[in-house]
Amino acid sequence: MTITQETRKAIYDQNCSKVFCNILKIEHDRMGEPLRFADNNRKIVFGGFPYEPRGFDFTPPAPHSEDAAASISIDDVDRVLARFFQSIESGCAILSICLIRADEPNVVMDGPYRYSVTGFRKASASGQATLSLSRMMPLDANASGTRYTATSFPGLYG
Amino acid sequence: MLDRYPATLPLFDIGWSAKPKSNWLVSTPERGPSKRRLLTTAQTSTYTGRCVFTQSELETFMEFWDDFLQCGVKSFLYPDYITGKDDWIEVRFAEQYSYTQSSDGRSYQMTIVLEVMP
Repeated sequence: MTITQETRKAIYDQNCSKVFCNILKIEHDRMGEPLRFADNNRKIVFGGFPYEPRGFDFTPPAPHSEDAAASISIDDVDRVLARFFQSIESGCAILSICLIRADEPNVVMDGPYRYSVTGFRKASASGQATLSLSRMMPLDANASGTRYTATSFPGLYG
Repeated sequence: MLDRYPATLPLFDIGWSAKPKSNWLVSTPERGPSKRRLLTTAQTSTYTGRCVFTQSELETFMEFWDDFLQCGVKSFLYPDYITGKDDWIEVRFAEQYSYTQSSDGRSYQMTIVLEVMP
């Protein structure tokens, strides 16, 4: 995670021409290639991989909360992708998200944060799909506010 | 591979206008002027144009609309009015086309609204 001087200036500027953009990767064993989306209207190349333009809204876990639940709403999810998400077992797909600056995409401003996909809901009329997510804690998660609860570590509690 | 707009059809021969779509993200604080930044890296525009079709041109257009554009949902290539008609840009219909028949019944005035793809 890097906040460069230029990024810091862009954040505080009254008028800013820099585009801050979330990029998203979804991986699953059954997928040949991960899905890669950029919340932008043009493709972004990050780490040598193209991230296709696709609108999405990410809702992170509430700050200072023990609840690790988050969600993401993705636009224009077609039937094939929707069926895939419906078919996967809870917790088997991994979603990574990070914040970049579009003009300097290989410098990660925040993240990547990893989540397991725990649920799926699709609004058939709009084509928008919402994935329920659970934050994946690192093994040495002993930062303040992080405790081994049933929500954050379901495997420990059965 | 995108289809090109049929070469036999007239372009916006009786006028057109262009309007960029806003890609600003504006946040208004309680005090002081608003902050403004760009939401996306590309700005798109909308072209609204009018042209006159004959009966056969109208039929050609309908065929293009139905068969190639799948009732207007697919994007296609159209001459770029800003940089010159030799350049082609990817567009799609921003809304349904509309036309009116002339009083003599021999021609149709068509209004087309195109969205330039980013």
